[in-house]
Amino acid sequence: MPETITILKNYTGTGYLFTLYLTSVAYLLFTEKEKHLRALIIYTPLTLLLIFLLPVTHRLYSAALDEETYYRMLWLLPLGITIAYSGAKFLTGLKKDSYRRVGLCALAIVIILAGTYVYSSPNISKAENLYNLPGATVNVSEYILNDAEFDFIYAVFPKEHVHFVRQYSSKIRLAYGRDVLVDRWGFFNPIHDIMENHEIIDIASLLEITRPKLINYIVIHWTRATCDNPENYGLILLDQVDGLLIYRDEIVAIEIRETIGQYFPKS
Amino acid sequence: MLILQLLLQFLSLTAWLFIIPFLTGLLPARFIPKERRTPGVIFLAGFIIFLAVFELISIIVVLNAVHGGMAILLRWFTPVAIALAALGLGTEIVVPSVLFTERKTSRGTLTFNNNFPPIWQRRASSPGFLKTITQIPEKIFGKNLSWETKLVWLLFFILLGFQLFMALTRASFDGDDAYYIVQSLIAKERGFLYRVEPYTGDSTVLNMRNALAVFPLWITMLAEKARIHPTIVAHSILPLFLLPMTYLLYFQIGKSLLKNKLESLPIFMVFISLIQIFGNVSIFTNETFLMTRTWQGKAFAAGFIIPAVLWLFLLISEFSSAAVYWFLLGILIWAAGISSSLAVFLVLILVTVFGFYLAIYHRSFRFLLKTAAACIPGAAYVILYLILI
Repeated sequence: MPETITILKNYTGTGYLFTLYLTSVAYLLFTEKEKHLRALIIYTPLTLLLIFLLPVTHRLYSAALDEETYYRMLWLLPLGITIAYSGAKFLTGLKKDSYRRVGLCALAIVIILAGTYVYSSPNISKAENLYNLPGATVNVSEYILNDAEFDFIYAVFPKEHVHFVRQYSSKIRLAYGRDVLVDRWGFFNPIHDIMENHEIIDIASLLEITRPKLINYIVIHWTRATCDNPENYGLILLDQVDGLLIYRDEIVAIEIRETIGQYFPKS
Repeated sequence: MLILQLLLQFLSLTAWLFIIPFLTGLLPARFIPKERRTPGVIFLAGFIIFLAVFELISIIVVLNAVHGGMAILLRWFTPVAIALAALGLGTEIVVPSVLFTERKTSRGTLTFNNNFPPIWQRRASSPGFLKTITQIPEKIFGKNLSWETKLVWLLFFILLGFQLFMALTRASFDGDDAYYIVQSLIAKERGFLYRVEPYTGDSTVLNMRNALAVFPLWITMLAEKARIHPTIVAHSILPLFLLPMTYLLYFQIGKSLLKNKLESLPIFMVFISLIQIFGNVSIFTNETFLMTRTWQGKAFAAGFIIPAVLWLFLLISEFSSAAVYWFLLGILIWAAGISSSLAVFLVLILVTVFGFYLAIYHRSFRFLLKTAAACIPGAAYVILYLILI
């Protein structure tokens, strides 16, 4: 099966809504009299769909642009507009008001059944604040921003918070970011490896890497086990906020104060 | 004090999201055929021009300013945007085309088209203004609506209200926010434009692949004007603006599609809004992008820019002699670059196929030439992109 068909299948999910779209196009093909509308919402989309399905287009697109975004060519099909227009046109053609009323309800139900409710997505949750960021990330970031002596904040966060910390404040630099978390991108980061890929966090190995980089804050979820008490290595436990233990590396903090701190006055 | 601050923030956002784009839209408004010279069309036209100007100035600043780029961008863009809005308002006052299109006088009804007097010939009182304002709902939704039509309109507004409520009360996780939102924040907090690695905060060279897509900087501009955190602007405020604006565009598309059956327009709008809500058949659809990543440039491309191309081609087909739509199309293709560089490529493909079929429909080679001319700004963008990456 050509890869373009697979991409189309992945794009259309269950395929019901896309079938409804093709049905709408077919309906318009027989009923639409306006030539310019036929050109705009029938011929052009069908041509684009054909172009999309051609393996050669896929190859050219992937070579010139980015294979991962090939599905976006399907954005050019006016799926919603065509279904809505053909539905409205069909209902207008009905002679009796009662047919129209029933037809409106029936078509609405078809759309609902053919589609997938966007707010049931696992990626959507109740907003905890206007930032739409996890409250724990906001609270811990705010704590660190208040605690820092200089505008030099370099931190290690658990992976659950990595996406969000810098959406709250770009003043906090991260030892590893989202790029490390996306497996298919294939990035390796030794700090991430120590923090996330082992059951017990090896603090000594961690500090061996973080100290030369002047990483001055380390945040660990309270449920995570460490091979020794981090405070034995010069880390100071500042607080536990929303289940996150906030450590400041005092050795690094002193080094920053004595060396580069003056270049990062607190704003 | 807090109330005053909130009021000022609200006024600032209103100015930069509605008033300035609308007043800018008054510039091309007089060239838009009278049947389509409505507040909605004027706003959309103004918004497209507003974005295109922002895109142009941003690109110049992004490519040249290493430090303090955001301050430079604001210093250049603010006066230009205000000047365009003032020019739009000024020309409207001096030679009216929109607000005073109709006025009853002892000599009959005067319209712009049959020489409504410019300012130097006009009396102090202009009763047409109030009349025009009170006629707006009638002009938008039509005259003498049946209770059934009103009910379907009500249903649409309930669906829209529901979407806005969910946009405000729900958080949508998307990994790309760690890139785009952080670019907005870096621009605001540190002034650097695409010169800091957003995931970690390390310094980096200018990211050419994304540097021309300045939607995050547009968010920063709004955040700076309203003095609100860019993440709040993106996640909580922009959906309340972008979703209704997208529906305004669909409304205009529906008007063009159903021009002989306007009583079906609310049905069209109800179906459109249902498809938005239930269009999440995969994570890839334009409906999913619009509803779950409203604040990202690519969602703006999928939800607004691409449908806007169809809208302009519908108008071009309807009023083939109106050069203003070709002008707006050219501007729109350029403005597509604000959302993503890919959007410009996609829009150029779409415009080419539209242009090809409509040239056949109109049996006009000139139509193809006009299409090609409208693609020039987009082609310039593509050339710039190819040179830079």
